[in-house]
Order: sequence, then structure tokens, then C-alpha cells
Amino acid sequence: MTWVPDEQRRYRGWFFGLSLALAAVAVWVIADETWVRRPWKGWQAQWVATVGEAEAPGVVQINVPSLGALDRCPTCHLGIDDPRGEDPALHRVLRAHPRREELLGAHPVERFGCTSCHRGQGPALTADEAHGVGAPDWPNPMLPLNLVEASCVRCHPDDDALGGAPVASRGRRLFGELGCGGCHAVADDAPAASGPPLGHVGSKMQVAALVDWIREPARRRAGAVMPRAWQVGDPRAAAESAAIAAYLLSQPGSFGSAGDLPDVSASARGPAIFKARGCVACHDAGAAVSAGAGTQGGASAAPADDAWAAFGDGGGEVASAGEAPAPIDFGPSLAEIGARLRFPFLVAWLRDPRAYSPSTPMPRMRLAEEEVQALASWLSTLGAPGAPPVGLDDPALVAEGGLLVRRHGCYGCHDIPGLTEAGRPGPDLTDYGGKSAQELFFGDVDLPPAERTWARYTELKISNPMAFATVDIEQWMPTYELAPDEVHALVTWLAGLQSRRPPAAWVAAPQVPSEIALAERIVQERNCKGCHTLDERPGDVTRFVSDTSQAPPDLTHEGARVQPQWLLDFLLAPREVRPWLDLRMPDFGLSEREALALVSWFADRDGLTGPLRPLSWMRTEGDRSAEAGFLFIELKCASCHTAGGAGVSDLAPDLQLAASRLQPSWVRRFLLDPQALLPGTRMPQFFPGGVSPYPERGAAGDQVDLLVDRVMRMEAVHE
Amino acid sequence: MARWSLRSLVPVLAFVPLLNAGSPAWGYEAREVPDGGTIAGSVRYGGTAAQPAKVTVSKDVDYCGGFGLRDESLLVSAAGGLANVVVFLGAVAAGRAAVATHAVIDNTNCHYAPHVMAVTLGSEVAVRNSDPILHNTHARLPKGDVFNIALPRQGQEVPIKVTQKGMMKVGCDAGHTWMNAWIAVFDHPYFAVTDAEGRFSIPGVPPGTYELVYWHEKLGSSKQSLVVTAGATADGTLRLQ
Repeated sequence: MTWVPDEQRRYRGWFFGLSLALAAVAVWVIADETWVRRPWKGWQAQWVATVGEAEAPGVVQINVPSLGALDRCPTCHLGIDDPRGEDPALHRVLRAHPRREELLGAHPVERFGCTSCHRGQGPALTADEAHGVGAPDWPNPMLPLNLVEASCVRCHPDDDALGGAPVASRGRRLFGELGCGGCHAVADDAPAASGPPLGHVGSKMQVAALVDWIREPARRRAGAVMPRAWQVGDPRAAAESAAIAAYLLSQPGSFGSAGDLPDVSASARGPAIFKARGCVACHDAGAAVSAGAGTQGGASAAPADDAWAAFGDGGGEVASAGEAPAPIDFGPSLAEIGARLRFPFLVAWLRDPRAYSPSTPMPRMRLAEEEVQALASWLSTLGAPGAPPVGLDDPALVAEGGLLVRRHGCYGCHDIPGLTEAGRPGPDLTDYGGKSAQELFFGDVDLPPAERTWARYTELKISNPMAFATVDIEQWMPTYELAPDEVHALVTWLAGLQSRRPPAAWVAAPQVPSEIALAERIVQERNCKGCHTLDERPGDVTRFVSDTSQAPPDLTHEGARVQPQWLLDFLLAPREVRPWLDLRMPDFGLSEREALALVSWFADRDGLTGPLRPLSWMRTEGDRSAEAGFLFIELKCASCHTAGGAGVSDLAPDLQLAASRLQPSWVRRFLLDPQALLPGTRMPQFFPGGVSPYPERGAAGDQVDLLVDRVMRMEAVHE
Repeated sequence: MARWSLRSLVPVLAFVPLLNAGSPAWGYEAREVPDGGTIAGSVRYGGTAAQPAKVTVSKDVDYCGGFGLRDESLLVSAAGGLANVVVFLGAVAAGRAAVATHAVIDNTNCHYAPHVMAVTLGSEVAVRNSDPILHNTHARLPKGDVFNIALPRQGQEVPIKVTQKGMMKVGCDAGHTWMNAWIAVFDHPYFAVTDAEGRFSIPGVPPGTYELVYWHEKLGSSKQSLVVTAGATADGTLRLQ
């Protein structure tokens, strides 16, 4: 054992103690520096160690003055735009941006920064400061990740097809469809009435139905856009809805005159007209017009058809009725329409729906006046109007109604006489997404501090507009019955509404929808498939016709069949092509641009480039035209077709139409095999198996060429 | 579901003698029938038969108007026999071969002759025009078109091979709205069409219990159960109304 003097021993103790203390301080200082005061150093150390980088990059800063971004986010988020960040084993702070190549490829970090999409305090270097989450008094907290699509639509405002932001795009569409803009301005959008005008509502609606509708629209018609003005069970609803009705009924103006009454004797013809003219393609109207029961023109479904079905496939089993077809519900059901709408309005509506509502998808049905009268008379017998509340003409009630119309903001969506200049009843939302939680009125709702956020407030407000009402503060916004995902879509879109907008140069120009997209929308919105067969899907109306020849034309090959100019003219002003059809093409009031889009769409479907292509066919020379004449006579074309002038055929179109209507190449294919192009057509095959009935006079193909020439020159022939 | 479970049992049931009631969807199996029986009888009309109505000839009146055409949808003989009933075994899994044949449907004197016919699958039906005017023969199954042939030339005949079973309804689109006919197509040979007196006969039926189906264009489907024994004739007489 070594001898050590006492004093030395004492110093050694001090020395050790001091060293320990110094080490502790050093560790504390380094730890504080790395994990508390400069946490980015820790992330950088981890990044360097994991990916094998030579040295830490230090503070990374992106400066994009035009977007007001000074962002140091990549100081911690080192893998955000780095393929090595795609390793799922990395801590999420170090990981790459989701869909990095797609999203950051289009929006490079060095040009866009981070906060231009995600918000937050860009220059900060700690998580709390940068994200501004958890402490609600940060001026610019990060946008919650589930709302981040809000940022996409700020620069891509009009792009429905923006695949990356389906929720925000849906929110914007909902905002429009629900008529939110009637009450709330957004930037410099123009107000547009989304509900029908109410000036003539007294002669439009049955009084009891009007009162009911005001009180609870969704109960009168499932899926009604009009919101509820009162909470379910609100005791004021009955009296206030009657007062509002009283006010609306007191407004001058009406459809027709008071003497217009349904014609009881004509109403018996209603169901037949309803079917014959194709109303059934869009509307259900109850038992009187269900499929199969007595079709138009007196040609009722023959008992032979039942027997035919009973044969089945000859296996002895009586064929079952099969799957019930989908209900027809494109337009509202009219089964109770008489309880809602009054005769004078029905007459005006059937004559010309656009005269009442310029944006309605309902076309003008080109009805004769006596058909209009018969249909309206019959429709007004469907359903019995309820008993209206009494005393609606009481001036005090009318005055109260006027006050309520203003308070509830009915004029936001409806044109109401005297209130057309009243502006919008709801607050301006132009900067709504930029509001902080402190600027929002939470009323008496008791939320934990972490939930007192903009997003939570907005979600609650849209789901239940009265949520923040108190005994002192009334809330007037009406209630929409929305599903949670619809609410979320609206919240997402609203989050993007900020008055501080990206510079114009950064905003994508509004996209004009392509002709094809426009045409597809028209086909959907005008329910073209309600009548027309397209791509083997039979038009809905075909279930009401006795056979294919009575159905509207199959449009599967319309682009190849008709000439573009003819189709354009026809779409703009439909006229008779098939005299035997009771159904007729309605007048949809398409704009020229819409009609052209449809023409291009049909051409595109048949693989034809551009709508204006030359017409050409094999023209026959002089001596061959005699042979064409022989075939025309011997194949007995005129047995079914007329050719101008000579009366009207109820079997086949007038051949004189062909020269201006049909594509010669299509006529040729059609003559060779009509069924292949138009399944179910009455036009029979004259050349079955490619053999002519007059094989001794030449090949079928040559004969068809002669006939095409003959038909396409029919105008000049004058039979 | 019941149909499916029956189907899955067919391989097992095939070994059980006297059980001919396999599923028709399974396909028909041809084999020798040395001990066959016959089903014969006549179909009577149970209602009051009126003289068939004259049809309105609205097209080619000069030619078609001269034949005194009448509605052929319910033809009853003086003795009460019902013509044009298709009689067939409802569910037959095996039996003598269904031989393809040749038949003619003639557009003659502005009507179809015969009015009702039945053929085996794969047979050739010649569509003929014996008239000097344009006829058109358009055949449909309930699920859609089968053929639609124009016959502009007198004496013209177009052969059609029938490849789908079921009941084809035949009509003319060339304005002869009164012209109609029926062509039944079976995948087995056990069928007949009643003659003018309502009589029919179906020979060579393997012994067993059958459901006999009677189909008429106006009266729909009826059926009755029959037992066929070897070498004997079972009476399939039935009254329809």
C-alpha cells in the first residue's frame, strides 16, 4: 500500500468532485445546445449518422420573397426532398415529403418554400415556434395536415380535375351547389340566386305545401338543397313558416290568370301523353304510368308478350320477371305533384321551363298547347293539397313575415320582390381561412383549449349552425343536412380562403374544360341516356316502348352516322326525322359551344378527327346510274322510305334527308349490315352473308356503292 | 340458390335410374333410347272459339288485300282442337339425339307459313319469299334481335342457321303489321307442334316421369306431369283456355 499524505488525499477528493461537476456542466450545456435550444443539431446528427453524410449542413434557409416565405424547415426536415428520406425506418421528422417526386417535382422546395403551402413560422428553429401548434396565440399556425389541400386550391382555383386535391375541390363544388355564395361573399364573386324566384310563388305552389316546405324542405323532398331554417323541435317553426308564407303570398304577380282551371275531361289523356312524349325518361309519376301498363297510341302491351316471356328458354321453367330495373329518378317524382304545384304554374312550366328558370336542366318538350293543357290538368290531380293555415292574409302576419324573410336571409338564395338589392345576409368569407381562433365566437360552448381552433369551430358551425348561439346572441344561418365527409370538404376549402393571396403569376389560369369534358357533363346533366341507347346501355325510356323501332335512336355510332353540320343544327333546333316516333327530341336550349362540344364528342367516340371532315364516296358515272336506278327499284327501297314530297312514311326516314344528314361511309356500312350498327333496327339486311338478291348483276359491294351514290344524291333526283 | 345446389348434384343424380329431371342448363346428353315410349294426345280449346277476325291490310293493299287474311293467333278446329300449340318436355337431361333439320318459313300470300314451327338447335331455316312484293322477316328473342332479312325478290330464299334456343317472335317491319309467326328452338328432340286438329305425338321418350309443357302464343304456358313407360303411349291430352 502506498503512503499518501492526508493533504494530497483531500486535494484528490476536490479534484474528482470538480471534474465531475465540470463534466456535468459540459454535458448539460451540450445537451441544451443540441436538444433544447438547438434541437436541429440533434436531427442533423441523427441524419448524418443514418445516411452516412460527411458533415451536417447547418441551418438551411429558403427565401422566396414573392410568396413571403423565409423558411428554415429543412434544417430539421433534412430528408424532405431527398430520395434517402424515403426510408421508412427514419424518424418522421427526417422523412421525405409524401409523393415527393410528384408534388415537389411540380413545386420545387427552393422555389416554393414550405410555409406557402403548410403555413407556420418559417424562420423558427424549434418545433413549437415553427409549427405554432398547441399554443393558440401563434399568429400563423401550421395548417393541420388533414386540411392541407386548402393550399392547393389557392393557386389552382378552377381545376375540378386537380387530382391532388379531391377534398378541397369537392368543398368548392359543394359551396356552389348548396348555394352558400347566396349569403356569403367570397373574394369578388358575383352573387347568384341559387333557389327559384319567389315573386309568383302564390300561383306556383299550393299554400299548405308552401308552408310545409318552408318549415322543413327535406321532409317534403328527400335531397332538397334548401336548408332548414329552424332546429328540429324549435317551437317557433310553425308560426314563423306561416308568417313567411303569408308575406310571399302577399307579393303581386302570377302565372296565367285566376280563371285558369284544369280541364277534367282532358286530364284522362295525361298519362298517355306523359309516356308518349318521354316525360317517363326522367320522372316517376306513380302507378298510372308504370312500365308496361297501357302504352301510348292505344297499343297496349299485348298478351302475346306475356306468353312470349312465359316460354323462357324452353326448359319448362316459366321465366322469372328478372331483376327489377333501376327506378327512374333523374327528375323529382311527380306522384304527389298536384299537392305541391298549382295548375297555372304547371301550364307555364310545361310550355317553356326556361322562361321560369333559365338554368333548369328540364328541356322544352315541344308540346302542342292541347297536350300542355291535358298534362297539366292530369298532373294537378296527383296528390291532394293539404288544408292551408287560415288567416294568412292578416296584415300583421304579412308584416311579421317580411321581417323574418330579412332575418333568415331568404333573399340570399331567392329573388324576392323588394329585396333584390338587399345584398348578402351572411358575413363575407373572403379572409375566413386567415382568421385566428381568437376572432371566432365560441359562445357558451365549452371546449378544451386544444380544441378551441379554427378547424374545430368551422366544423361545428357547418354541422350545426346554431351551435354557438347563446341566450343573448341569436344565430340565423340555416341548417344543411350534411354528411361528415361533406362537412370536412367544406372546412378544407374554407381553410384556403385568405385575403393574402399568392401573386397572380403563381395562380394557374382558369382551365376551360375541354370539349370532351364539357360534352360528358352535358350528357350527364341533360340525362341523354334517359332516352338514348349508348354503348349497349338501353335508354331508360325504352322500357316504356313496345319495340326498338319505337325507341329514340341509338347514339352509339352517331359520330360516324351523321354529318357534323346537321348534328349541330339539330341539337340547336331539333326537328322531325322519324315521323313514326311519339317520342321527340326535346329542345334543351343548348348554347352553340355546348352543341359543338357534343358534335366533337360524338366524332371522337367514333375515332374521327375533328368535327369538320370532308364527305366522300364513290361517285358513279353516267351509265352506272341506270344500274343504280334498277337496284333502287328492285330492292324496293321506296316500299318503306319516302324520298321527299311523296307523303310521310311511318316506317323509315325520308331518304331526301340523307344528303345533308348522313355520312356516306356510314350509309355504306349500314346497307351491308344494319343490325351490326343499330341492333333492333327495322331496316333489314338486303345483303345477308354479303350476297345480293340479284347476284347475277354483280358483287354486293359494288351494288351497295351504287345505292350509296343514289341516296346521297337524292336531293338532286326529285323522284 | 336452390337452382345452384341442384346443379351441383347433377353428376351424382346421373347415376340414379329413372331420374330424368336434370337441370336443362347443364346441357342435353344424346344417347340410344331402345326402350322409348311415346307421348301423344291432343290439345283442346276450353273457351268459346269465335271465327278469327279479318286483319286490316294497310300496306300493299292491291296484292295482299285479295287473300282474305285472318288473325292466326287462335285457331280452333270444328271439333275443338287447338292448333299451333308447342308441346315439349320441360326438363330432359338425356335422350335420343337432337338432329338438325331443314325447315322453311315462307312469306306467301302475305302471311307466314307455317305460323308456328319448332326446330332443333343448329337447324337451317330457309326464309323464303313467294310473293312479288318486298317482305321482311325479322326474328327476335326476348333478349334481342336474331336476324332481320329483306326479301325484295320473288322466289328468293335466304338460309339461316339457328344457334340460340328459345322462342323467336317473327314479324315484318315493312308495314305488314298483321304478319307474325313463332319459331321455337330446342336443344333436345322432344317437342311437337299441334296440327289443325290439335293433335301431336312425341316418340322415343326414355321411360320416366316428365313435366309436359304446352305453350300457346295467346294462352301462355301450362304443364302437366306424365309417366312414360317402355314401349307404351302416354296420353298427353289437355284442355287449354
